[in-house]
Amino acid sequence: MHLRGDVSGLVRLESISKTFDAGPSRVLALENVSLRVAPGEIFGIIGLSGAGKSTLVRCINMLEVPDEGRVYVDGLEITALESRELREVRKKIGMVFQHFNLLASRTVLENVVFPLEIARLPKPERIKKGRTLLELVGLEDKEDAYPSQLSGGQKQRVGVARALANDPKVLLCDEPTSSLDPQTTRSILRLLDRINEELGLTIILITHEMDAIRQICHKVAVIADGKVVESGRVIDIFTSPSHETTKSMIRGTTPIDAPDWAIKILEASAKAADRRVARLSFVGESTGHPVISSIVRDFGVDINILTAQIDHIKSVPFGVMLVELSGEGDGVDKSIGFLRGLGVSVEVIDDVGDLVAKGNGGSE
Amino acid sequence: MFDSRLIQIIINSLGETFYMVGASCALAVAFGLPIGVLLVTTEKQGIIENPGICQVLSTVVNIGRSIPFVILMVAIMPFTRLLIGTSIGTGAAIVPLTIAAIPFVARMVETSLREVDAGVVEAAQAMGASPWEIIIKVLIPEAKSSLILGVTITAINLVGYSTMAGAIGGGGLGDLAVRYGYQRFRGDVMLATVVILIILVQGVQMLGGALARRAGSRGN
Repeated sequence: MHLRGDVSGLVRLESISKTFDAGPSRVLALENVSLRVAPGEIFGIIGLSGAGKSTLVRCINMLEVPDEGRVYVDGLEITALESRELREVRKKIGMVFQHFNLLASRTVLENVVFPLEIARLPKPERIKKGRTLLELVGLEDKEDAYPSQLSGGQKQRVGVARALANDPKVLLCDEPTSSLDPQTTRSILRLLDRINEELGLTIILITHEMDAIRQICHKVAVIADGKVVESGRVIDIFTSPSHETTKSMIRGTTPIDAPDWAIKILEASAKAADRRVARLSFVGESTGHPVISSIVRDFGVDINILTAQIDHIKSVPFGVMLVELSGEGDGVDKSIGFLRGLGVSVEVIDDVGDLVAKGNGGSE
Repeated sequence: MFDSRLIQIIINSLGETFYMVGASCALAVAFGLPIGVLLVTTEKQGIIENPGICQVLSTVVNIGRSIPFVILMVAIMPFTRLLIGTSIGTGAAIVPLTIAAIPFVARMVETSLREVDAGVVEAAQAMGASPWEIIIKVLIPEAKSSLILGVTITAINLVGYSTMAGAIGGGGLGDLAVRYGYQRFRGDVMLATVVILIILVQGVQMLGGALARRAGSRGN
């Protein structure tokens, strides 16, 4: 499954498969995964633990060698390189880890300049670059501290600075916030977002937290059982998720499914000719319009709001609302047309059962 | 109770012990460290994976460690003679001491390097570090504190082994204790050498511990 748009792709995975030996049995970690990440975007890869998302990101810099398929970074086929060439390419692929993976025997500054040492940059330049990077991540006063003296968030900032040292083309973040508390998580995500904006750096973010995706990602791929089950713009995935895994991860963040009590009411009304049950998704500007009151006034339609939530994806507001519309004549249909005209996505639900288990097992 | 001649003998013996232990410890580290590094890096999933080499090294190390020192000392006499021209004396004792300590150091190094977080090695790989750079810049520095403790244990073991070197005329404190203390019934000399050995071991342990702490302090 390819993402919409962006045919080029800074990072391109083509039909990646990977199997692990697990004692007597073999575990299929990735099955025929294809992805394209466009330059300058923050691309999220989300999945439950064990879904294969970490394996996937590790295939991009060949820390994990795929059994089948090809990986391209900036047009170069990584999977075809010899170890020496691969090491050169890796210098241009930054990586941030869940457990930071800093060298305990080195100070903060020495950790940050470590990749520059590997790249054989002269020492004065290393130090200069290292200090600039520490400033970028807000740790200029910690350069002589050791990792053991830092908090988790500070350690991850060092990890990010280190990953940026060689001016990478892409930054791979493998669960960068998964060992951090919610507040620190937000600050690290903000940092990644800022780096993406200021440096125009492409970021691939692996996470199991839908919130992380919502806060900073432009696009997202959902991984389940080693397969990409859904992918696209974050806003689309959030407003109309189709796969069960996606829904289960969004649940709690946005109201997709109707609560039990609402189902009972809806079962009756869905059958009635003059009633419609619909899921309205507002994205961006349309969130700002007083659409509900317009419908009530102009089309004489009654609206019963069953669940609703307004939230933000990156800085774009979006809302999801489950409503029951009822009215005389063609008022309901007209109002649906009116809403669509305003850019509100309207999904009329004929079978209320769909609200419970919509899109079960399907992909897009 | 000790005349100046006896004191001089004790001092000479102490010097011989220092010489034997110091030289054999340094040589054992020089040979054992690379072997230990190879044991870790050539194993399956290692940074220079080579199960063949790993298996051979491991077997050789195990054989080396199973031979009792007294037997080794006598068994390698021809080799010692070939190497330094004689199989008797303090210098000659360094050869079996070194050979006995190499596999021990190798295992110590192996254990220390295994304690290094695999994630840190992975981070270095992700940065494009070569296996050699990972060994020199990651594995050894990160394990430094543990490695120093390993060398300390080796040195103390060598103090113990060196006392047997008297059997091939190696001299040292052990030899003194046997010749004067045991064969000439000088209980006081025996006691004095034992006390000196205790102080020596204590000193080495304290020094090693302090160095290891300093290497591992990391600002704590």
